[in-house]
Amino acid sequence: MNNKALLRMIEAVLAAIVILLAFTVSYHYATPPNPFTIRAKGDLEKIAYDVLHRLAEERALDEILKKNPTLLGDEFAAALRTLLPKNIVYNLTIYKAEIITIMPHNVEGVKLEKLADATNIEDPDTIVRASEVGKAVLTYTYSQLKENPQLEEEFYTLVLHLTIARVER
Amino acid sequence: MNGKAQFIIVAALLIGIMVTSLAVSIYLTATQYQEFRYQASKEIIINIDKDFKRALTRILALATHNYNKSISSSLEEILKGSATGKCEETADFNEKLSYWCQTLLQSYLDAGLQLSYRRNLLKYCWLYNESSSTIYSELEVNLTSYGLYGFVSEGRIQLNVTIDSVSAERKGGNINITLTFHVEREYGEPISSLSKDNYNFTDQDTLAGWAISYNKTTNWIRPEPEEVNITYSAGGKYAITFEVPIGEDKGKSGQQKLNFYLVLWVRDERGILVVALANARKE
Repeated sequence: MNNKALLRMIEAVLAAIVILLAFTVSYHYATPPNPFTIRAKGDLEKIAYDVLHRLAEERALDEILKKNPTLLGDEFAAALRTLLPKNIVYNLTIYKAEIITIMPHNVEGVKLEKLADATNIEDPDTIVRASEVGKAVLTYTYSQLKENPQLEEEFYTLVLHLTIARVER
Repeated sequence: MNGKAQFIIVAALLIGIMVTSLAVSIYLTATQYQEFRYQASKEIIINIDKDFKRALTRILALATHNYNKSISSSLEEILKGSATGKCEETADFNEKLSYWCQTLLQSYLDAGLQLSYRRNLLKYCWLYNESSSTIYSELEVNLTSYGLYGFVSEGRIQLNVTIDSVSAERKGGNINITLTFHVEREYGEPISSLSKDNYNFTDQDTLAGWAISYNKTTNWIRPEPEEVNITYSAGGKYAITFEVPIGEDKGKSGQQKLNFYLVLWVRDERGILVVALANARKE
């Protein structure tokens, strides 16, 4: 084999490598790097709503509120730890809707007072840095019958704000 | 063909592939965004619908609980012999519904939520053989940010108690009473949560419960838990049995006669209460 033929061979191999490389790069560009990333926002929102609906459906809230409302945050943290995958961080804030009088027209309105929160986020920037975040809001109306006529009846609505984010762990 | 030309072809091919793939990737990003960008309108509507019905249920539970405190005068009338059932309608739960609507409006500010409710009705029909507690309202929901208009949630919450039969049989110095009744919630769904354990509303862990009283001359007597039995026979049907000691009330013939009323309280697991009345006679 002479030198010219050898050069042609090397040239052909190089060309093949370049073409293969081009296809590889184009495949990388044409396919989403991780299909989950594209769909993640919607999925996380669905997960957040599903979790809140599940908590509300199973009367878990009633049980917690009846027992001890101060434990609301801890109880929810325990429930969310069970319901959410390990690579999802959460931040749940529970508000109680309180009736207020709005001055100067003396009109009744509603103000959301923070009642409790539950989170497993240590660094506040975790959610900001996360590429996938989902948020959900759920309302839950609660009441309790009081056998004692001296006690005022309870009827109020809780508003639950849940933010979840997927993190690498 | 010389080497230079071959490199130009390869370079052209490479650039062509890369440009094409870039165009495809931009196109895919655009279409996938349109396809997967999720709007949680369905979840918001589901939550509003469920919480609306939950709020109505809670309102009815509280209303019947309070209304029960006011039926003592009706029970006295029964003892005087002028027993009548009473049906009352009210719409005075607007305040609670208004509070609930304001809370939701604040909670879903971004969704452009608009709420309006109509045809509010809260009705008690108590102290009849067929007694009921009902609340009804319609809620119209618009989510303007999602382009969703005209969703109507119909909230009908109801508890019906129907006394089917009362029988009284003499047994020694007592009268055996058997009362059969059935309990249904809205749309005919049977209630199966009554048991001996929740007689007299003693079980604090559940809202469901029941109680029964009968009159003896001018007093209402509630049998002790160990004196009453309840059996459930599917479809929301129950039978209660208990014994009543024969009193001093005697007929003209000198034989003891019985003519007394039975008042039945039924509360379901949602806390909704109904009070029904039956008359037992034994000559």
